[in-house]
Order: sequence, then C-alpha cells, then structure tokens
Amino acid sequence: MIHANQKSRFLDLAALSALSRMRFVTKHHIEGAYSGRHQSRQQGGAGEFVDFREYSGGEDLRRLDWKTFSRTGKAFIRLYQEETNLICTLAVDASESMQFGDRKGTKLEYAQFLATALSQLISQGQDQVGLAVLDETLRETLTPGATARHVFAVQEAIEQLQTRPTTKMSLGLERLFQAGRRRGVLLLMSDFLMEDLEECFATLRQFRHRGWEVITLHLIHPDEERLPTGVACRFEGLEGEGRVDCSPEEIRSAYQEAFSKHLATVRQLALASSCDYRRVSTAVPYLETLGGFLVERSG
Amino acid sequence: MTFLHPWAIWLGLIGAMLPIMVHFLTRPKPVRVPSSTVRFLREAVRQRRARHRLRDFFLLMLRCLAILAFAFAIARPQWGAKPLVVDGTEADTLRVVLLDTSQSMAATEGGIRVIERAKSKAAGYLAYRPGLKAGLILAGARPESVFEQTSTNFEALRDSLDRATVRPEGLDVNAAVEKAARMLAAESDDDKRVRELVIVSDFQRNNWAKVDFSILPETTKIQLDAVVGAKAPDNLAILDAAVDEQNPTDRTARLKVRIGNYASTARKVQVEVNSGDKTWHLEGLCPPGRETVLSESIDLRRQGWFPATARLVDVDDALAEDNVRHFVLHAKRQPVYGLLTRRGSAKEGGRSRRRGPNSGDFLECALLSDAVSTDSSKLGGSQQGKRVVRFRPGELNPKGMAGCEMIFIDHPGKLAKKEIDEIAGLLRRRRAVCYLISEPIDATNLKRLLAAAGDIQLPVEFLPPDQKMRSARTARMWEFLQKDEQPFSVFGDTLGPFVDSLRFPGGLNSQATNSGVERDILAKYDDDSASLVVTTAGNGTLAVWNIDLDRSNLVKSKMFPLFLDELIGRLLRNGSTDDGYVCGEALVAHLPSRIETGAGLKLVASQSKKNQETKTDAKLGQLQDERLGVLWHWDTPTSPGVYEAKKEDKTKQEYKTCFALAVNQPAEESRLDRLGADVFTERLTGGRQLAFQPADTEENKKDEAWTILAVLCLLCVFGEWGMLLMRAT
Repeated sequence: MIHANQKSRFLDLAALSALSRMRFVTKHHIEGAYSGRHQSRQQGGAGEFVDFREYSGGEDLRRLDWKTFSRTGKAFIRLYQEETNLICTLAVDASESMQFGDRKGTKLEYAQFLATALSQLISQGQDQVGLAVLDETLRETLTPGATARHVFAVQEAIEQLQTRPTTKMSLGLERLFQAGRRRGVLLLMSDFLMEDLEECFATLRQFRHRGWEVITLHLIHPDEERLPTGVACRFEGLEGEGRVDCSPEEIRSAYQEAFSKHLATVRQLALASSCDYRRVSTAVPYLETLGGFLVERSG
Repeated sequence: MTFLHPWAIWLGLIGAMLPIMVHFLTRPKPVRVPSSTVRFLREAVRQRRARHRLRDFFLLMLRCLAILAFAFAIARPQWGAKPLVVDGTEADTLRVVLLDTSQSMAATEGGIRVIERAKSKAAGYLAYRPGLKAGLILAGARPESVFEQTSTNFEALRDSLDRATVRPEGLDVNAAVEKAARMLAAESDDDKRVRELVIVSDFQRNNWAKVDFSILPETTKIQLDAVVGAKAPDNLAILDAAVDEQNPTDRTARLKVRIGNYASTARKVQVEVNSGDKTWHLEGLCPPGRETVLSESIDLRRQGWFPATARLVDVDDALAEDNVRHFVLHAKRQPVYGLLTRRGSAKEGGRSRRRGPNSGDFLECALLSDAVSTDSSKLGGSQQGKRVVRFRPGELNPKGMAGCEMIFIDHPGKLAKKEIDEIAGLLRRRRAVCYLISEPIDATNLKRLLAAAGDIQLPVEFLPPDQKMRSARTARMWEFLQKDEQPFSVFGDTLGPFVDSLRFPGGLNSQATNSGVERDILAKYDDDSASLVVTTAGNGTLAVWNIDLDRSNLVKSKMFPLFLDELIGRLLRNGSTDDGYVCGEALVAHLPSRIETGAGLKLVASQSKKNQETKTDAKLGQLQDERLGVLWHWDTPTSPGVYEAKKEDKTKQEYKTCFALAVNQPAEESRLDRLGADVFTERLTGGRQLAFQPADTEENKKDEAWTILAVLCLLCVFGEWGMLLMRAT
C-alpha cells in the first residue's frame, strides 16, 4: 500500500507532464456513472442539444419545445446528448511469458509503465480507472474508480504485479466479463502467447457484444522476433514448456515464419472481434508508444 | 580376401571413430536462453530437425566412410585364397619349390613368356631366412632336383633357377610330386618341421588333372602358384603330320596334317611342308576348339626315308614352338605278303592230298594279280618283286618272314613253339598277322600265340565245334557287320547283296571273354560266332578270320579280292600306326627287318629344311642287335627333329639313310587351358592343406579394389565438401 505522497516506481510524473494536455478518449458512446466529457449512450434532457424529434404520446412534456410548437403548431421533442465519464479497465496479462525481456526491461515492466501512465492520465481526465490482473484466472481486480486513493491503489497493484507460469487466459477474461457491471473500455495488455487464443478472443467478442470498447495492446519484445546468434542454445520455456536444444542458425527462418504467423493470427482475430488492435514493441519507449496511442485515439 | 597391410585396417577403424569422438567432444555447450516462444521454437525445430539430422548423419557417415575407405585402400585388399606359404614365421621349415619346365611354359601371355614369370615367382620362395631349408625341382618328363635333399645353399638354388629353361617335353606331374615327397619326408618321428611345397606352373589341364598329392607327408602345405590366367591364350598347333594311304603302285600317298585350333574363333591356316627340295602347301579353315585334318595327295617318286617339316605360316599365337612339327616321309616299297601254310600250291602239285586249288591258292590269287609266288627256300637278300612268299611250318625262315609286311596263316597244322614265338615276335615288331582259323588245331595255335604275344587280348575265345554241329552247320551267314568300318565300308550300298549271297560253312565256334574290346569284332555269323576279329596291341595287329576258304563261296565272289585288299589295308594301317616319339621320354624303335645288324650304322640328327646333316652324335642313343632285328634305344631325346640311322654304301663311299624317325614335343602341350582352382581345392588336395594362388594377371585385376576404395574416399571427401558448401549457402 503506497501512501499519497509515495508514488509508484513506474510513475514518472515529469515525463507524463508532456502528455498532460492529452486525454484518453473514445469515439464510442459509453455508459458512465457521472457526468463527464465523454458521450453517453443516453440522450437526456440536459447536455448539448443535438436534434429534434416529433413528439409521441407519453413522452415527458418537459422536453417539449414549446417555442417551436407555438410557431408551427407541431409538437417536437428537443434531444440532448448526455456526457458522462469514462470507465476504463486496464487488464494486464500476468503470465510468466510477460517476464521475457532483457537488461532494458521485460514485457511486464513495459506493461507496468504503460498501465501506470494510462491510469494516471485517465484519472486526470476525471475518468474512472480499474485494474484486472489476468493469469489462468482473474487473480486480482480493482473496480474502476476516480479518486486519488483509488488511482494510487491501482498503481500500487500494478507495481506489485507478479507473474505466474500459465498458458491460458480465457478463464480470467470470462471472470472479468462476468464482474463488469457497466459498459466501459477494456484495455488489454498482453503478449498473447497462450494456448487458448481462440477462447480469449471469443470472450473479448462477448465484451464487444455487450457494448464494451476493447483495445488490445500486443506487447512484443524484439528478441522474440529474432533469435539470438550462437552455435548452440538451450531455450528454456518460461511457462513450464520444457526446453529446446538447437542451433539458432538452423531454425531461424522457420522460427521467424512461425512467429510472424502468430502475429498475423492475433491481429486477424482482434480485428475480426471488432477490437482495436495495436502492436507495441518494447523497444520503443513507452511514452512514445503512449503518445502515439493517445494521438491516434483522439483522431 | 586378404590384406597386404592389415595394420591399416586397425588404424582405419580408430580413424573412423575420430569424427564421432570429435563430434561429441567438440559439441558446443548450449547457451541457456530463457524464451517465451518455446512452442514456436519447438515447431521450427520439428520442421527442420528431420532434414538437418539426416544431413548431419550423412556428413558423419561420409566422413567416417572416407577415413575407412582410405584405410582399406592402404590395407590393399586382395581377393582369393590366403597364401599358405608366407615368410612371416621363424619356424624351422622345409620348402620344396617345383617349377614346371614343360613345353607349355614357353607360351607367351601378355607379351611375357610364362617361364620368366614363373622363375620370378619361384625366386621369391628361395630367399634366405633363418630356419628355412629349400629345394628346387625342375619338372618335365623327368623331374630333376638341384639337390637330392633340401638345402640352405640358396645361392646355388637361385643360380639353377636362373639357368632353368623350358624343355620341349611333357610333364610327369606325379613323378615330380613323388620327388618332392622324398625331399619333404620326415627324418624321424620327432621331426616336426613345417613342410611346404610350392608349385609354380601353368597348371595345364592335360598334365595336372591326374595329380596325386596324397603321397606327400600329411602336414605338407601345398601352395599352387599359377602363372597364367584362367582363360587360356589363343594357340594354334600342328599336332601331327604323317603320310598315309600310300599306293606303292602309282607312288602316291596322302599327306595329312592335324591342326589344333585352341582359340575362340575359327582360323584359316596355311601349312607349308618341306622335305628336301619339295614343298607342299595345305590350306584350310580350322573351327575353334577342335582339331582339323588337312590333307593333300602327294607324289613319292623315290623310295626311302626323307625328313620333313610341317610349319604353320604367318601364325602369331601363344606358343610358337608347336607351330613346327617334324615327321618322316617313308616311301614304302611294294608290300610283301607271307603265307604260312602246310599245303602246297596247286600249280606245283603241292604236298596236299587235295586235288585242285586250296584255300592258300585262293588267297594267293586274290593277293596277287601280276606277281610271282616263290618258295621260301629261295628267299634271300634279294627278294624284291616277290609279293607273296609261302612258308611251311618246320621250314620257317625267320628273316624271310621278317621281310614281309603281313603274314597270312592258313591251315598251318600244329605249330611248334619256335614258330609260335617267331610269329609273336613279328607281332611285337609292328607286323600284321591274319590267321584264318578253320581247323580245331587252329584254336590251340591261337591260344598259344596269344600267350606268347603277351599283351594281345581278344574279346572272344575260339573253340572247335561239336561233331554234330559241324555237320549241321553248312550254311552260316554274316549277320552282324560293322558296316562303317574297313573292310566293309568300301562296299556301301552293294554290301547287302554281297553279304546275302555268301555262305560260310565250317570254321570254329566262339564264346565271349571278359577281356578284350567288344568293338574289335567286325563281323559275326548268324549262330553268334565271331567271324572277323581285328585287334591291335603293342606294335602289331592281329586279325583272326574264322573261315574255311575251302568250303566258303566267298572265294568265288568277284568282291573277294576287293574285300581282301580292304582287310589288308586296315591291318597295315593299324600295323604302321606311329604314335610318334616325344622329347623327354625313352625312345625304342625297331629298325626295318632288312637291317640285320647295327654294326656299321651311324645315328645322325638331320635338318630337313637345309638338307644338312649334323655329325654323328653319341648322345642319340644306341643300337642293339636282337634276334629279330636291330633295336634303337635312346633314353632321353632332348630336342625335336628327325633322326636317322645311316648305313655306309661302300660302293658309293657314302652313307645312305636306312631308317628315320621324328621326335617332337608332345601334342598335349599345345592345349593351354588351365585346370580350375576349384578342382584343386575341392578334389585334388589328397587330404593336404592346399591353396591356389591365381596368376598375376588375375591378381592385378582383383587387386584393383584399392583403387576403387581410393576413388570412394575421394568421392566421400567431395561429397562432404559439397554438403558443407550447400549448408553454408
């Protein structure tokens, strides 16, 4: 538990100051708890006028545009777009494969930096941010909140993320789906190195079906794309997959072919599930990645 | 299979292990790399490993194979039986080297004379080493050893080997092996020395098929070193040359030359025959693997003995020595027939109580057409022109009988032992005797004659018939005839009518015996009695004609003179059969009966082509006077040629040839095909250890394995290099 005056080691406020004017926005109509700056799914009697609609019996007469009625003799209802706050759930893959990395950092650390920065940015926009830690199940979840304490709690949970050797994530996603009460944004950060890839995207399709906006950030370490040089290597799986002794030179092309196929599969599945897909290389500084991501979303 | 350098195999095996050991020892220690994408790695490995493992396996195999092939190439594998005789041991050893010096060793194979190759091989076994005692046998018709026992004087043995030459003679292989057995014999029961017999030869089938190694000590190791290949080289040879079918009346004869073509293709040959100033040419096509007789009619104007040489013209074959053959042209005089009978001639009233011509007269009439008969009492040194001479038992003139080419015996009555011995002696001296048996006493005479002659055996025994049968048997007929044989073959299709008209009353019965050759019976009567039996044994020919010419109607037939002429032709042909004299074997020849003593005769070797005579050579044998003539005895004729006995003609102050004979190399030596190795190793070992080493030419062929291995080694190296290059690119 960190105190208010203590910040997570993954939170670099000075670096984030460059992104302070940027907001995490969504083009989808969302369903929030409070009024905010994001378009709500509901069209209420307050907010920004958007249109007229012919009155039909039984509707609230308070919304009737009397001036128009007096001029035209026809009853019209004034429609307003309600604005609400955004509820964003940051889902982080905590499988052991996320621990892959080099001296500069692992994929998990990269995800931690990114998630912490996002939580900070989202909270600055008066939006609610939650956290879900996924391994073989939904290991930890923090319901979205907007208070400073809540944000600290989220960032603390992100800081203290621990990986587990697992190759499945669909169950955790399903649990998260069942726990989600309001439609919001699900931002999933994962390397998608799992056996139940199809099932995971099936669950994500359920999120989409309910009206969630699903953003998938596919974390890829550069060393995963290309094999190391050397005569003989013993590759040891991080998730209890055993080990493989081979000469990288002999299998380089075949490996690259298989990995590229995997990347293409993930992207295809994400797009087929109407998810927003973004490939994130850990070689790129997370702030750059974040800036690009926010700019892209802001349109 | 044996190896020249077997140690190289061990080095090769160790060398072949090296790549495997290097592979394991230098296998890189894998660097531990944590990976999140093991399943992709595993998939990639699964895809590539099978192919790469196969490639790596091939690389390793190629590497090992290259080393092994190199090692085996150095080891020099050689096919064939392992030699039994090797100089790798220090044990006390008795070794006898038997070098074949027979005529066939003069053959040329691959441009090298076989004897030179054999001497080179034999010399390898006569090198000094401690504990080795060796002997050398030069094997021909009469094997000769350098020392009677094995010796350590290797220098003398090698000198003798260097001087060894091919002799124009055959090979008495068992005599040579027997000599080797004597040299290898154990001195005592404690004599446990190693015994080795090395035979260096061409292993000609004719000579070696009858070898018997069982006379060697049981522990003898026999090594046969062949110096010719399994395929016999092509050879043409004159196997025989002779004058046949002489007709003294018109002085013509038929020159016959027998050619052996021991090649795989037919050859057209030309033979040039020289005798004095005369030359004849014979041509013909000789089928492969067969003997062909070329013949030509020649004129023999002068009587006497003439050396002659037959030579193959423009022939280039393996054995040049057998392209020439010496022989003697003997122009014979008019034949003189002797008739031994107790009956007198009808013309002179005779001593016979019978009136009219008797069987002797019939015979004489058939034999003579224009000659005049004479009595034996008038015979002497000048009986030329007389063709039939009558002899009476008890008044036998041995010299007169010896001057006859053929003797007829008809109704002689009981012959005395002396007369029987005389006739048997004539048989031994190449005379032909025709005995017409009709009386019971003839059966007794015949038995005594056969006993006196010794080596003549008839397939039947003649017996007097019973009195009843004799009277009943009045019309015997010829039933079985050997129609294709002389004297019947000349009649051809007319034989049937001729035979059907003939009747043969009288005569003797016969019964088969276990001895003799059945085929000698040329004719049988319908009562199964033998009618005409002709047998040849030793040098003479005996015909037994079971006929009573007094009673048979054969004498009245017009065919009788012709039949008799054919019978005489057969008997004289058999009687003059000359097997030829061969070098290296003892020569025994009877000089013509007209020569009464060897005194005053000299023996010379003649050279027919240049018509030059050498001086008298005391080594040409010796002449021995015997009771019935002169015998020429020569232990070892050494070189081919014509040898003559000459008698001084005091009136002309010169020597005149009175007898000649030809000595040649054995015809069997011309057939050069080798006895198969399996025959030696499977059938002729005699229970001894035996190894057959094929000839150099074959060994060279079989020794090509090292070149194949060397090429294989190179291929492996290049293959590995190629695979590495492919992997690198």
